[in-house]
Amino acid sequence: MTEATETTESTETTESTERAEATPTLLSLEDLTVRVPGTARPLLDSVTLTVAEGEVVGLVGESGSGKSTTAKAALGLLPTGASCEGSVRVDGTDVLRLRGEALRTHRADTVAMIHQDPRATLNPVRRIGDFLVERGATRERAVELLAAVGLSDPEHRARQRPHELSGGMLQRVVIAGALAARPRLLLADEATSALDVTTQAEILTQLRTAREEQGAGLLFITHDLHLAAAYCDRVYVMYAGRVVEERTARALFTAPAHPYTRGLLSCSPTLGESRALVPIQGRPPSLSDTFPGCPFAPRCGEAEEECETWLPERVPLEEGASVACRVVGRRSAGRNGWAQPTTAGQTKNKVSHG
Amino acid sequence: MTSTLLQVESLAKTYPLPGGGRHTAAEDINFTLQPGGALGIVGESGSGKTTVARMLVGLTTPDTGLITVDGRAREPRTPRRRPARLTRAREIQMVFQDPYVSLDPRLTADQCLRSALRLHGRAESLAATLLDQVGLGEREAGARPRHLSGGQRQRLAIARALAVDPRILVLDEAVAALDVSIQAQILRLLDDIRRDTGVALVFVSHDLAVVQHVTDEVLVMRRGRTVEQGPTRRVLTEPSDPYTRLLLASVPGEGWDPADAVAARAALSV
Repeated sequence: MTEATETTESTETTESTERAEATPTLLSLEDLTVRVPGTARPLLDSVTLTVAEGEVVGLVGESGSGKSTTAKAALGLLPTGASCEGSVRVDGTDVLRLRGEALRTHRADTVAMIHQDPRATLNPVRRIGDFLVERGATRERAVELLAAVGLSDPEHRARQRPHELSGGMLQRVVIAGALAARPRLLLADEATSALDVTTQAEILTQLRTAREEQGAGLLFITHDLHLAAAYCDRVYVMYAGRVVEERTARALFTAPAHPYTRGLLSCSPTLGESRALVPIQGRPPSLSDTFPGCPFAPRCGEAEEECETWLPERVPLEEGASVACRVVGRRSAGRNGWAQPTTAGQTKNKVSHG
Repeated sequence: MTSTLLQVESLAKTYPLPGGGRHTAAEDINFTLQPGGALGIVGESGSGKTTVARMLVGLTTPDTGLITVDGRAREPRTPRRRPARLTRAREIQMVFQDPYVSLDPRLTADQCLRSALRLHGRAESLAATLLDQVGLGEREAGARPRHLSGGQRQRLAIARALAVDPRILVLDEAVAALDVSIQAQILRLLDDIRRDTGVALVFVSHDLAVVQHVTDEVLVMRRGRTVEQGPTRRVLTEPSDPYTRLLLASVPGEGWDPADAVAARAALSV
């Protein structure tokens, strides 16, 4: 836990008001850079991200890209010894400045996080009902919540202990617990990745319904690009601690702009498509790798010499979308249409913003 | 028509339950595999797919059923004599999900391959060829597993299995824990190996898209039983079993709605 620096405060407010036209912004990260001692590059590098009220925002990328660190920043939870620049605001509150009781209230009531492993969240010696009551639900509401996330016989479940339930059931309990405090913002970190696909589909349906009823925003972290594109309104793609692309979910499928996003899509096996997989060369960068320019350049098939020294910056695309790629940015500006999606589907974007 | 390499007939395994009675992990499993072929076994957790894989390799002893490789029945138990054990090992090799626990932490990649080659009386110089085949370089050759990335460890595990020159490679969720860009590299590698060495694959996975990519034939398991089997393309495009349809409806893709999968589950009514 560390202080946000003073310098970025003033620039951040003007930008965030600009972006919050349609629906009020709930979570807003502005140029967040997080460094920890002993690593060659920052964990997060100039991450700018927003989640509006009621919006489902996806965060995708491979392991080590900074997805979880980004989500934890919304809780004001940074790695030990981390230093950071930029700001994290939830509902207008500067999270990185919260201390003591205010921080506890923020973590308990305003934001709720759902992790991948439900057993790490649940106390094995306490009953399911107690877990929910601890989070501010009454006994009656606890049973309602358990029913809402699709558990059969909720009265009985509330009296059971975690070891009596399967992994899928426990993850439903954790989601019920996250909803119990009626948070404004939900953070789901690979919440359904360990589950069977059929269970995942059920839980996602129930999470969507419950979330819509409460009007909460959702930051949905996943490594599954197809899932993010199908479930979210907007998607951020992260690579080496940076946001490399921000798109509406549909545009991500139909017209991915960044070479990394395109690479991810062409190396993900897709049902019903028999095209050959084209692997991205090399391996995802570790924290000991440094990059003088674009971090993806060493693995990029389209990289030019200048990319090695080009400091990534956001290049605007259509409807508030953006990409951090020098080559795509130049083509987009030059022909004004290369990276612009041309499909008719673009007009049906679920959320317009920016 | 080539001769059958692997034939599995009425394979079954049950486990005793604490309160009496038995849990059926696998029942009446039948399939055949041609030389150089690839068979997928798909299903959700608890469907019995790993039990089948372990019975093939001999890590789990089947209650009943017959596993035949090249017309010779495999003994249910590991033979006592060394030549028989080695012959058995050369028939089927296995690659696990987590290469970190299946590799000896004290051996470098090169030593790991050399020990496998030596055990099977093959030239130790082949280690370099194998490392090259799976795309591991000189640095990786001298590295111990903890200094290799997940993808590199999985490459080494595949190379170690190939060092034995097996007829069949059983891969149990071998790419499940890898990042997609690495997963694609490993899938490409498996394609190449299959083409170059003619090894047959039994590919156990929960991921239908990956199975579609790797295999020719597929077997869909549910609660220890086969619900559908046939050519991968047919099963995944025109599934005849409602459970296969549910699995397919649950896979996220363009225009996917999780509610469709919930509807498919309701249609299954079990």
